[in-house]
Amino acid sequence: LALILLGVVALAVVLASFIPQRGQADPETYAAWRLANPFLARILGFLLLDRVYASWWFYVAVSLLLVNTLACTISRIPPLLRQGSRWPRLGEQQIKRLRNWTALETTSPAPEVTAIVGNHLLRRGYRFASETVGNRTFIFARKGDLARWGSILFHFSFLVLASGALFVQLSRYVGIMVITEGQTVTEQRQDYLRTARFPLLGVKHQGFQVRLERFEPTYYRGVVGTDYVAELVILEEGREVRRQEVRVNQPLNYRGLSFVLEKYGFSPLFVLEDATGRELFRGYVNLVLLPPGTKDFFNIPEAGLTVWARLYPDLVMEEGGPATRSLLPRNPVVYLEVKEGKKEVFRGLLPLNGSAVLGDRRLTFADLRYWTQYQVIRDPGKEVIFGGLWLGLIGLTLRYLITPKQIWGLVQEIPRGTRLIIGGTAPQLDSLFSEEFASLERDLRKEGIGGAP
Amino acid sequence: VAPLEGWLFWASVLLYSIASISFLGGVVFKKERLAGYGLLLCLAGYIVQTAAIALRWSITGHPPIIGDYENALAASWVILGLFLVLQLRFPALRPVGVAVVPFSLLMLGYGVTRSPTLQPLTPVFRSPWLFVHIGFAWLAYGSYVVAAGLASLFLLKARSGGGSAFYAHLPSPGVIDELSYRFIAFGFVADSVMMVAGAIWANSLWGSYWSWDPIQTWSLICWLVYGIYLHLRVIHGWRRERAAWMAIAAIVTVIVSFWATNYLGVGLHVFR
Repeated sequence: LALILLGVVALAVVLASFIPQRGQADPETYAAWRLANPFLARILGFLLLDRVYASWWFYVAVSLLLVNTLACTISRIPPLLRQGSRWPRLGEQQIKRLRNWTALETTSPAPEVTAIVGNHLLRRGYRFASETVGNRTFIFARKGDLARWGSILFHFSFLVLASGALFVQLSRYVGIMVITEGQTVTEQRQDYLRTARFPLLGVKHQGFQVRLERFEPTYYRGVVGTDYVAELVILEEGREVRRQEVRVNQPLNYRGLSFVLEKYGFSPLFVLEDATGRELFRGYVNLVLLPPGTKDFFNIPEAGLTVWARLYPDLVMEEGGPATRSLLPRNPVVYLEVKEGKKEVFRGLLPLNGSAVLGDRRLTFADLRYWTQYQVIRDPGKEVIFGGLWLGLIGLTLRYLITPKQIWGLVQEIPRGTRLIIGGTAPQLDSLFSEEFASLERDLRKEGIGGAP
Repeated sequence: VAPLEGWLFWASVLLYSIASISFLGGVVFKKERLAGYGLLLCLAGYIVQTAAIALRWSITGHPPIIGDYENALAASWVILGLFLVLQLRFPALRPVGVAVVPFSLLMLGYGVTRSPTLQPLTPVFRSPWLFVHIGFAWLAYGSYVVAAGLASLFLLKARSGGGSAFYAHLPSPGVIDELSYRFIAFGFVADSVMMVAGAIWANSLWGSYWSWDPIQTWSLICWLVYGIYLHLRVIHGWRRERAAWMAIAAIVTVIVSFWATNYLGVGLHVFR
């Protein structure tokens, strides 16, 4: 059953990797695909193959796999516990049925032979036991017992991971927060741009404040980003309690929340004044202007204006028109297209501190700062997930990197001395074990058991 | 690419090409000496490739992990390294090179058709988890490739019926079969470390452990397929021919994970 369920899950994942998935594929691409293949899209939609990872049958298959894993794991524990405390005796015929076995004779007495075999096996890392019944001594040795527990641990880790995943579903919160240089925001609902993931158990905001002190990107040859550093300050009731540099892979963690740096961009300061010099609008506008050439817009509703902007952080005039030498704002110039209703009132380049005249009004490009975007994550299930992952790895390592081996022997007194029948096995790796067994036999022969090798 | 690195790269490609022909000749004409020459040429190519990697590393200041070219360079180096380590322990297994060396050569060929431009380490790559993630990916996929090579050799030996002196020099089919299993088991552990490290890295980078991006998905498929192989072998007793065919067939998932999804150029793993 486990194999069938594994096959079903694997097949589902393969199908989902070929069929555009709703909510995962780019929305425009997905819509275009649906339009191009309406019949196929309807059939796949009916079978829920366009949202495999959210379909009931995928959850059922994964749940059944988990139940199966749980049942297998539990059923394996008692035999393992019994095996751990049991030292089974094998008779001559049973030893001879093993893949690796040999019979050796010596004039030494039986206790001496048992001791020699025991010493060699202990030296090789085996746990050794012997039991004398009448004139026969049964030998048993084994190593790598942990490998058997590895499998249990590995399968158990799936259950821990599943519990962790369920806990994450109930408690994980992901909000998107945008902070401009110099701006202070509060950890409260209205200061988030949006919520990317809302926990079923609800969320309690904590009300501390976060200020972006500075953002500093570093570029290789002016264009390839090599480091992005955001200096964040945490304030509690206006008092600074933490100051930390946040990088792409180094989030800030505070009171159970992680601030993961996700995006950045330019935020020009625009000031709109009327003929008397009265300010009608003043604000840093977070625009998506990277990579250079990208056009974005904003509205000034108070003045009925729509402003389209393009930024050249390090302007250079080329034959084809304006371009930028680098992404660093060494000589920032914005290209603006300003419309009042449908009427264009300005089009042109504006350097820093330059103004555009819009009839009796004036729009000034007064400053340039960076904005940064963070995923703010509350992840109480993290420890359970990590625990499951590590447990699984430890289990796999024990299961597959340690080879369980067992050796049985029978020491019998014969008229001219002692006879030793010894055999062993390493499940899954019997052919490779033959080499080790042959080496053991050579060592025993060197000790005079069975003569020279 | 720095001029000297280019020379070293092409010298290693040349050596591996001749090594591939030698291995192929050795297996087709059952000439052990040819396979021996193949191993020497492979070793020479490996030394030259190591120099190329060291040079590139010294110039960029980071290990070769960015882009298809660097990944092909490093992954083929790990695969061939595992093959050479196998030779130290089992010198008779030289003919495994007939599968492993041309496979690595194809990887290098694919890599050089992509952009080999020298690039600095971008912010997303600046994480200790990255090195764990990528290092174990190479180990995992390298082990799977060597296991497939061993499985091919097992089938060749099993079909020869023991009549040829060339195959008689090889270890017993049982040993080859078990070595293939061991490489897959080791690869599976490395594969799991790769996925765990990737999930942890993804959480600190994208804020999510798992996103069903094409490379993640195909890595999971690859992991599941090798998990099924191990399950069939350990629980259902699949051995020898059946296990060998599966070890060879499963390599398709490695190829798709490593090449096809990168080639499509979509998903979170396409770092721009």
